[in-house]
Amino acid sequence: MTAPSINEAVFQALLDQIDKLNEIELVAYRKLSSQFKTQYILKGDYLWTLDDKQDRVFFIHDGIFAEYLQKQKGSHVVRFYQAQSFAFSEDTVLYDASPETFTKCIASGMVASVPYEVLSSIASEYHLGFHFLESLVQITMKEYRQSTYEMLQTIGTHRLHAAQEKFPEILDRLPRTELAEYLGISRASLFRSLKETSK
Amino acid sequence: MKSSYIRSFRKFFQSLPVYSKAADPAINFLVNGLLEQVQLHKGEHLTRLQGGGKDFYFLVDGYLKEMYKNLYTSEDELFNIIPPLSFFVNEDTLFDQKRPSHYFVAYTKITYLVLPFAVYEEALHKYPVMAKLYLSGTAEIQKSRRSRLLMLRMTSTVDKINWVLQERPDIFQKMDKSTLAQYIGVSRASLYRALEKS
Repeated sequence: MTAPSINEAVFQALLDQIDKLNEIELVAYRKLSSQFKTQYILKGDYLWTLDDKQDRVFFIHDGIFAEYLQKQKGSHVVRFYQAQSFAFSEDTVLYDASPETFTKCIASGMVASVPYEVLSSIASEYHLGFHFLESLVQITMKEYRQSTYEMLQTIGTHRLHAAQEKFPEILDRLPRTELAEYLGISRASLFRSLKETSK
Repeated sequence: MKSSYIRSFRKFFQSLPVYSKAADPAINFLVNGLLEQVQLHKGEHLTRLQGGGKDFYFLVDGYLKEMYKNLYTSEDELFNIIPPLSFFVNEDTLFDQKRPSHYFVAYTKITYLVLPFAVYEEALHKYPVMAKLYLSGTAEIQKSRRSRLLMLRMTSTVDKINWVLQERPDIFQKMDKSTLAQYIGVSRASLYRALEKS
């Protein structure tokens, strides 16, 4: 049985993401949040891998996770998930395709998740349509927009500041190698930017 | 309204992975709700989007610049180039009910169509397939954003230029050097050095 506090956190996060809920929808999202099962994920473990066939929607209760896109030449950080956010493979959940990304734990934490089929069945039972999926799409649309804004800064210190706007603890929580890769700068540039920022 | 514009509008939906003939009544409904086309010359602002509102816009012809005020440089800079046959919206208003922080300027002569939000909402009520079309359309936009983000994270300017050449050849042809530098997130000096090298 999942600890009540995490299910409540999932429910509150759902309410934050989806606006204009009527009473039936509230019942539906309460039921959906109760279906999330928790597990403790250790640093270095995965939320999903490239071979995953089952699509799940995750709620990061605490900890930090990095999503990587696999390319021929290696993998690249696409984004970070921090506490109290939803995470999912866009490829499996939205495009019904094999994942092109994998998500690895950078700082251990508690995660709750629900299989997409459970979500679909509740959506169908309560006639929610694609309401929840639309909300997930909006989350990622906003995240990509914010990340693009960060990456359009041509100076390392500006990129760092822009990333801190979204993720204030970025310097304390992320290993420097991942941070440099996320910001699209070399480790040397990152250290210069950090030095500049601390002046 | 020109029939070629309507054809382009339909083509957009027909190209989505979830499209089937069953979606045609919903698309017809949207077509009937479209407002007249608007034409703008290069450099003209789409003032309609600056006032807020949740309407959808479909660019049938020409290239559009999405601009933002860079807080770090206090300059207005390029956020994105929108190619023909794309939908664009005011995301701040649509998703967050906020004042728009971005604005749009015609990069070339453009023609766009306006789809009122109320028409989309009505289509959503009448045709369950509409939600699928919306999701599929936004998913395609996201794929494109993810791809560009990876380019922006490349540390080599030459690699970034090559990405634009391969992935966005039409945009590459249209952009002047200053716009290209902003599109790939590098200074103009870095761009010129990279172009000399390659």
